[in-house]
Amino acid sequence: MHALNEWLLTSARAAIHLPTRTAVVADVHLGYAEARQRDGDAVPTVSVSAALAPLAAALGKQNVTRLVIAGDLFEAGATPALVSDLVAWSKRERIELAAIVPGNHDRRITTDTRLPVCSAFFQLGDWHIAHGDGELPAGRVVQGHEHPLMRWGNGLTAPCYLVAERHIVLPAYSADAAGVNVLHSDRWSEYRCGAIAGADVLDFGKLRDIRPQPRGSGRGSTKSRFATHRYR
Amino acid sequence: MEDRTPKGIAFADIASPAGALRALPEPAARWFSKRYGTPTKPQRLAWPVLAAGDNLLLSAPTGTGKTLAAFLPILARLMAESLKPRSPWTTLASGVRCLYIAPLKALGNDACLNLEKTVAELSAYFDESNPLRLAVRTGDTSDSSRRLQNEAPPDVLLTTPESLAVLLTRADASRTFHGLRHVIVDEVHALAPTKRGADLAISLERLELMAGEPLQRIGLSATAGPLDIAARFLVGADRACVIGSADESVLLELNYRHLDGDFVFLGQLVESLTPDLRANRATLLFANARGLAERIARALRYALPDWDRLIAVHHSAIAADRRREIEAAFKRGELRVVVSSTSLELGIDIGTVDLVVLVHPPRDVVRLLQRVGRSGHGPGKTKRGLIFTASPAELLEAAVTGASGGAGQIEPLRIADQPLDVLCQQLLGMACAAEWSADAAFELVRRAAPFRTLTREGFDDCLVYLFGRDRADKSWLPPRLAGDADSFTVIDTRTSRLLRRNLGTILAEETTTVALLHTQESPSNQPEARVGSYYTYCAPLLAIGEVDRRFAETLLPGDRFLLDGRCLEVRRQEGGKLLVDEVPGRPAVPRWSGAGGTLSPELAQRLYLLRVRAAEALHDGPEMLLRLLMNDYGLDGMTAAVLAEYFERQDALSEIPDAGGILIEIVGNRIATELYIHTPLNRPANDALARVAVHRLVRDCQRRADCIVADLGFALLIRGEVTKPGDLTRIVLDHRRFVDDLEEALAESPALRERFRCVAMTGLMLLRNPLGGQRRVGGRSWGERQLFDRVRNHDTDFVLLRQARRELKAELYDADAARRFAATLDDQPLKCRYLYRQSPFTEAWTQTWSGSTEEAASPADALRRLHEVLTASGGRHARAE
Repeated sequence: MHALNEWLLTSARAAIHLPTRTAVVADVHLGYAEARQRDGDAVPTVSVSAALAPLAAALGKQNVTRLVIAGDLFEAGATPALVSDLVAWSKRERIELAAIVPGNHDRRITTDTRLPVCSAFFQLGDWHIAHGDGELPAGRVVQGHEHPLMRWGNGLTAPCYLVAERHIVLPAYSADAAGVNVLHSDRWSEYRCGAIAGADVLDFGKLRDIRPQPRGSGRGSTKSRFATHRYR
Repeated sequence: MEDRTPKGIAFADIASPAGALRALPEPAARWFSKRYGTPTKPQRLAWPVLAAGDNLLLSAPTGTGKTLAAFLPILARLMAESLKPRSPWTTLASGVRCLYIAPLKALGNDACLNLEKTVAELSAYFDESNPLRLAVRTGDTSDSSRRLQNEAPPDVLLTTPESLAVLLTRADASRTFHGLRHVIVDEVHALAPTKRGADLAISLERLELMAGEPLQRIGLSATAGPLDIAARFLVGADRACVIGSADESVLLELNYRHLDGDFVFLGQLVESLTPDLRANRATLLFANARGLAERIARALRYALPDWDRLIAVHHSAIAADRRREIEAAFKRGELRVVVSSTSLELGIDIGTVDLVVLVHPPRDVVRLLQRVGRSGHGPGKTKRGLIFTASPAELLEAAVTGASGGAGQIEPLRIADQPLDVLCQQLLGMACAAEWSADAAFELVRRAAPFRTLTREGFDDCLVYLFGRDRADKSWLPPRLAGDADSFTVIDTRTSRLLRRNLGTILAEETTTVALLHTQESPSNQPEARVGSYYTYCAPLLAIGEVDRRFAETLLPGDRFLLDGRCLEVRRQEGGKLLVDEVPGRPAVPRWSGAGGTLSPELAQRLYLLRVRAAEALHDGPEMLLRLLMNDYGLDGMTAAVLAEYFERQDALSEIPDAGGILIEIVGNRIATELYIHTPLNRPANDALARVAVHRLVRDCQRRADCIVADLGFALLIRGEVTKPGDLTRIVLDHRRFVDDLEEALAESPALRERFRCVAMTGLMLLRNPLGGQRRVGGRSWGERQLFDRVRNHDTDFVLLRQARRELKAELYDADAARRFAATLDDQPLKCRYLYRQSPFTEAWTQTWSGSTEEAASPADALRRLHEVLTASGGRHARAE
């Protein structure tokens, strides 16, 4: 799905800024399984290269070699082992880590000099890449943090992009992320929704137009409320 | 067929009242005679058995002195023993002597209060005795009380299976239970079929090992029926047990009321029910689902405005405090009507009820007896029940259930079958308390009835998982246990701590609490919001109950939904709570996960038999059929006529399925063909058949197909023309490789994923209470979305994945029954009948159809279809349902 002339939104949950041939992903949450293990779960870990394999494939397909991370690269801070694996992955896949915007999960990320960590946001053309946990910069912004997801009543779910005139919200890259349903939130009702279905990103149009009707009756006048107050 | 009377199970003789009293220590007999007079039947059964030191399973109706029947001889003996001079080497008084385990905290609390009174009175009859000490230990026990209990264990401890499991992980557990002699398990029938029961069964074996000598095991059970299986559960694989059955033959007075007119069911129900409600002092209604209970309560309130505060709704999604309040008010006679889903079937005393109303049939006979058993005053009295049905098929089911209930034909108890996730939890618990030899642990576990057929391979697989290793002996998970194939112990103290925080087999639903916002905060432009609000005088932020988290997610401020029988409007979501106000209006009905019960296999079989008999009777004329229904099934003329007409319609359009073969009704044309296949099976078994059939149609016959699943049959909806339906049916229902194909069909099923998550939590792969709280990023569904794939990719036969598959095949789909039925098809004729429209019997399938168990299309395809629909209609199409 193309958005705002400059962006290609891929089903690998990476948005590609076409003028600069740069990919942007957010909320990678590397080290998620390790964090769960530390909390006590007995679950298997996933290697960094396995976690990033779909991204490498998508970038290869689009012939893009530059990558910006819009925050939450790590689940529970940067550990030397994870950083080493990430640096090795980027060398092997010939993907340049152009910038890493720190997110609320990225504790200790600035202490590792191997990572190109920028300040609160990164400039890409006339877009600001931010994480989205703090105040957003003025102007056109691409952000992560929200983990948007569309969930329909029958259990059908899909991670999605949210697109407004000057604002794009990326889905979480991490498959570990559960996501937050945007369908029932007033906050995003004016945003277009690009939901990921297999290898496609489907444009569902503005959320306000596909949003379900209110629950129960009686958001109308008092009179109509009483009129419908009857059991059938 | 399993041997139904295992060795060592015998029935108790009933002693004379004097004989029973002689079995008690003399002071206790004196006290009892003075206090109560003559012993009741359960007491006359129990006391001689207990005096002889035998294990006992006692079955008796509530209110017949069952608790005293079990406890009095034990309390008296403990008091008599405490009279003997104590030597410093005696450990008798320094540990728990009698343990009482009940599935509900409230039962333990009630029993403790009653026993304390008994002990106080009794001690006056035992000169100089040290008073017995009693204590309750549940999740609610304060830390200081726990410490006190650990330092100086009480003589009698009342607890739940979960709190017992935690106690047993303590290093000093063997000291606490060294002197244990008696264990009383309450509500055995409720525990035996569950994972909680399987957990308790191993705990009992561990207790016996700590006690160093055989324990006297006493089980209490309320439901009549085959008690040998409950006894086997109680005493384990190879011990003897005496059964004392004080069950009276139940006098059932059942009435059926069939509502099948032009109006909506709920309105008709209320109209028909109102005179009965007014005529009775206290009425208890059972609806099979929480949503329906809510709707009925609301409809009754609307129809009987003067009774607004006399009607309450009671189900498991209502806040616990509010439920206790309702139970107490009902017992005091302050409520006229309580509408329950299933929550009032068991346990808690709610006093006597004049009339029990069942809206829709209860789906199994045990349920019917439990529900109707709530009515009537005291034993031997007639139990009155009124069953409402919404279709002839339901009426038929109700009649068969009622007849079975009257004849006492209840479903057999099914002991949980070696749940390996529970075994993992217990192995870890055992390792916390001591170092174990694997052989000794295996022997111990096999003594518990649910695990008596456990194989060494299954046991070893659990250990290998807990060692963090895979089949190739490579390390792939963080280990919980240290050791090898010979002996094992817990890996570190941190793991012990984690275990104690996470023991238990009850998995809470994902819910959002609904709390009442103070009504004064209602917006001023909605004055009516406060008028007549039931909650006006309630405390602010009072928790009313809970709704499914996914339902809560779809609510916006201003949306209205039904809970506690009242219309609530969402004000805001705050701190994970849904803050609401009561308003007049027409609310949405919340969805709660978990469907109502399924028809038991036995009832499905009997329903099928009734149809066969009905077909034969109808052969001799409608009069004979009417006579059959009225004489053998206790129907009145009006309801019998409804059923007779139903049979006649089926017979006229098609035929009534009989013993002469399997009836297949075919409705179709060149575009699509519907095959309606009649079976004597319940829904889970039909679901397994339908799943396999659709899977094979798609895989082997390259046909597009879907299915409708119901009780007593299923339908295959096949794209295109079917020229030889009989042959096709035989191909897609072939019993060879049936279970393999079912597993293949279920491999990608969301139900399997969800089940795996639950098993992984019970098996302590995923913790409910990890350190530092839940990782929010992954959400609660991480186990089914991510962990499932990772585990399956590593080892498709991983022990917890295998357990999840077993549970699915046994519970959601009855693979065994389906395969057995498929095997009979070789020897049965298939009777194909071409119809121009659906027969009356199969109309019921579509009416009750709530979709096949699962969507067949892939999520991506489903999303594409949704996208097509929404974009084609230019948005604003439909609710997201």
